[in-house]
Amino acid sequence: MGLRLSRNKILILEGIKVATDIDDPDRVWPTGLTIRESEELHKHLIDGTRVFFLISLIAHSLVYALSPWLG
Amino acid sequence: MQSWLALGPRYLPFADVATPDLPLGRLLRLSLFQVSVGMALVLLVGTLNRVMIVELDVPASIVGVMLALPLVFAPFRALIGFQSDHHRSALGWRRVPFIWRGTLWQFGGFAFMPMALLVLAGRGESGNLPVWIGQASAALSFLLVGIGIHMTQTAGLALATDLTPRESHPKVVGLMYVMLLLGMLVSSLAFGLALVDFSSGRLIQVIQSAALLTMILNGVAMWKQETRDPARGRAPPGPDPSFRESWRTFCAGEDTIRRLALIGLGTMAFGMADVLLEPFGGHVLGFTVSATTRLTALVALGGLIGFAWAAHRCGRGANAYGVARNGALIGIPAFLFVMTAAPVDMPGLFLLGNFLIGFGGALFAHGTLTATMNRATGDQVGLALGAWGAVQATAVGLGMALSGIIRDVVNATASAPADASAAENVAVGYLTVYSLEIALLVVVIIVSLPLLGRRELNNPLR
Repeated sequence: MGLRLSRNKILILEGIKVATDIDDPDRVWPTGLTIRESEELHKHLIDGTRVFFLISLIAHSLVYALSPWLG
Repeated sequence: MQSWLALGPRYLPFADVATPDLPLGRLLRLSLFQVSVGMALVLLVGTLNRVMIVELDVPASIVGVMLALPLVFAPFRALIGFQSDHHRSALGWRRVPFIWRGTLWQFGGFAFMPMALLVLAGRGESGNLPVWIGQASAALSFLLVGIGIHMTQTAGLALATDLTPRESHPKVVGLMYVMLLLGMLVSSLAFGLALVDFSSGRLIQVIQSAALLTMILNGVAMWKQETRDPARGRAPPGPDPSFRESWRTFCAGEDTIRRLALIGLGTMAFGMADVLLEPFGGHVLGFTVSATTRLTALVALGGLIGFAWAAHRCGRGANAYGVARNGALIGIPAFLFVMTAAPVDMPGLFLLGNFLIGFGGALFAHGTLTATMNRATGDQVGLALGAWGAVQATAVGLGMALSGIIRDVVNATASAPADASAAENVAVGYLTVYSLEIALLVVVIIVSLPLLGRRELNNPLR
């Protein structure tokens, strides 16, 4: 357990080291991300949802081709 | 986990890779993406290859085209690597977005692949539909999985290179290959067991489980791995070099073309044997099915020992190309053993040959990938590993296709003497391919000669 704890600390330390501009007025709490950073995460989320939607559309039409429902 | 870590350094050959900046646990976690790649490869090339032909009665020519589709995208690995090198992200990520996107494509392809295959086979009500619907959707699913594999592996290997210092690259490469091999072994056994009682529903369950596993394995692999560098993302978008410029700079490096040719030729030489070993054992030496399956396990065992040995040698400072050359040197007698086993009627010689093919192939693969990682510098890590992957994956695919074609063509045209037995007649095609592989290995050794004397330049960035 000791190993894990100390590794987590290093990770957090790294986080602080990276985020030296903690006073950046662009940073929004509680996430601690800037607007641009959170927009990027949001873009990935939207992209993922679109891909997922497209895939499920294809999958549903193929399943309908195999055994039509409500027929 | 604690006991595993304590056990590791003493019993695992790759334990001493844990440098202060990347503990063994994190490295093992990162290598999980190779397990998912191995699983996908086995599912495509092994399991579905058989299921489509035997259980679903799809014509062999269509199956061949479908399985070749993912390879069409292999050359784009260089482009993927280049893009990840110059990816602009406010979060300061370079590789994670590509691993994630690759995972998404691979997942998506697997998610609707079983239904596409069933429609392709005309199961259920789909028999009355036009044929192209099944063909197009199956092709799309194979393409998506292929793109996913290429993206994930390219970005994943580039990330592994980024995260580890130069001196531990040999062990990282060893670990990555061993995980790939383990993923392939375990999943081929699991798929075989799961599909014993074949049914449409079971096929859907198996492939969709593979889709979900891809998501889980890759998600765990990339979680909190890449060090964020927001300053890089915030920098005003300067003029990035175009792919053409980058490629030219990359090729202007010392002997780059020679190195890539070496990778392609050697991979092809070892890869051509892969698909022929089992049928050769069955057709020519009269092995049973279970005995030929054990052959594959023997090759894998040779591979495991080869990767451990290569990691050990390169870790001690041996020239990576020297290790790769030794792999080719071992390959030549290995193929000779396989060829002479039938005439002198010594199956033991055939087994030894197979073991040595696995061993030599592992030395070659390890040496060339380690050398590629070591030479990759700062902004070209992705491009270099992309180029490696493009050449390697294309060579594997070409080798597999060529070996089958050459064997069939030679067997069809060879005019055997009237008194030759059926087995001797069949053997001609196989022996032609094996001789070709020995010739390729000789070329590999000649091509590698200029690379051996050269001391690898120390990378100034490490």
